[in-house]
Amino acid sequence: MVARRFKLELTKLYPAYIVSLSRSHTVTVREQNKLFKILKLSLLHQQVLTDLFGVRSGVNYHLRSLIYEKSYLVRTKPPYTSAVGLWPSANWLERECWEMFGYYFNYHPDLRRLLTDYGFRGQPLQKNFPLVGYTQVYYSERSKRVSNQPVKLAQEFRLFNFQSPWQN
Amino acid sequence: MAKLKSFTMNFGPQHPAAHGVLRLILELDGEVVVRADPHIGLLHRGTEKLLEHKTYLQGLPYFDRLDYVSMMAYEHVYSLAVEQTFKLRVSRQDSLTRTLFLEITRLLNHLMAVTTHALDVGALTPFLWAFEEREKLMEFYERVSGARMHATYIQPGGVTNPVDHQLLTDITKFVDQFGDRLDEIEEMLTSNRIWRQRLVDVGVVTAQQAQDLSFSGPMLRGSSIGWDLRLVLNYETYSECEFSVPIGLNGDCYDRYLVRVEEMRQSLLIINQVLPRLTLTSVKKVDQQMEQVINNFKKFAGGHHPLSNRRPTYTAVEAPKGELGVYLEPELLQPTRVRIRAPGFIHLSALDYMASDHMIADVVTIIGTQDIVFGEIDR
Repeated sequence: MVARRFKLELTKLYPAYIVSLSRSHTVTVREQNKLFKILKLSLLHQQVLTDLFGVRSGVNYHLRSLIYEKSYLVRTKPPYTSAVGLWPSANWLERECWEMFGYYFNYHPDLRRLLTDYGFRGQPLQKNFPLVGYTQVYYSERSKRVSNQPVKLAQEFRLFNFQSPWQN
Repeated sequence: MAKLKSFTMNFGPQHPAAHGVLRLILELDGEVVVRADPHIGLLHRGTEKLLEHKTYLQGLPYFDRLDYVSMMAYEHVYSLAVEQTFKLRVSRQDSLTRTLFLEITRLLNHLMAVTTHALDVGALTPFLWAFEEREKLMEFYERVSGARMHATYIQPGGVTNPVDHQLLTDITKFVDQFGDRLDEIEEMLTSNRIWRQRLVDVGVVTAQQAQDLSFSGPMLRGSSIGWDLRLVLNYETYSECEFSVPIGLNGDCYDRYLVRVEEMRQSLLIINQVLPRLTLTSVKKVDQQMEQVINNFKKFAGGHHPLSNRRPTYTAVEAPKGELGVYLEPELLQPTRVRIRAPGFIHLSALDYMASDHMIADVVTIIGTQDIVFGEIDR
């Protein structure tokens, strides 16, 4: 019952923008410039931004209604507008998105790197970024400081993924 | 000479009150904090990236190492995500065992949270007592999985080993005495003048602010919002247990401390309700064990299984620190994207907000009340 009311509410919220509303409560935003409007509406309906994260195809907003006890995903594509003005918690989440995927958020107050090393280059969560990275850090005894060098591994990365011998 | 208005101070990353590797740039006006800018990522291991290069089962041990204070809560959420993707079902006994160990994990976490907080504020003794209790709890971990901390006990499809009667008896013994240990800790802190002076009205977050800042767990409940995913999502066997969700009234550090202590008592209640059920279900132990071994062998030694659900899933549980979520985009052999929603990350991002206009000493209190563990924040 609660779930059905929530669904109704959701369709009222996003009359024109919903592409699909599946059982897993995923909202795909069709018109990108309407994203901010949608998020603002969500805020007015007392929805909490649980999470904001990048995937390969774009940015996902995970919103939750504490009243209906339901959560749903809003999927979007660029350009992105910062949601910091709506939820202060979006600040770091957008920063992480920016550094990991390189998705730029317009009007973000402080878009800096967050988790990677100072001076790190590249977007580590993009698929073309190698798992071991490009540089390795070590302390150079000769120059008495920490320095970066191109990564050198004694052994290649191996994926242990055995096909089943029992399959026919 | 121009008068110095504000100056910048570096706090951490080696400071013991930073709970790990938090580097904090504090902008100060005298002793008052104007701005706090946490620099994180010193423990960043790229777990989300690594998981894209591991099979579903190989990914599990990484989750232990995210929040190394509440290990099984993390294993559990990943296991749930994989189970949802592969449509695996968990037996009732395993589900009860999970509930039992999740609550033990909550005790582990809150003991650490409350007493290291007390340590930062100046009370050493409860910390020593709590570590004694934690050692006993980690012994339960060890007896069931062979590892004190990174247990890899909860796995997709169930748990690795069934619990035996002796262990259940010992857990009962532990639970019987643990309430008294909590009383001792509370005697030292709850009405302690120093403790109250340092915590009451420090780091106040109203209910609305807590929602805007996406708080969850004790941080949200401390601000008088009764929100607990154990009740909302009804995973495992929580729906069979009766327990209450404590909330704070003022949203300050003291209330969050009280909430954590009360949550420990509620955990004891849940454990007390789970234990008899577990004893009843595990009567025919030996037969089930053989059956389980065969099942396990078929499931895991047989390589990968066809995915039954290609859609990305989001799974959330109430970890001791707050809402812990895993977003999993599955592919045949490995996930293509795993997103870990760590509660600590979001709480720490509110540090600037919570610490502004407080004294330097209060920053330590606020870091303590946020229950920060860097394994999960840096991921």
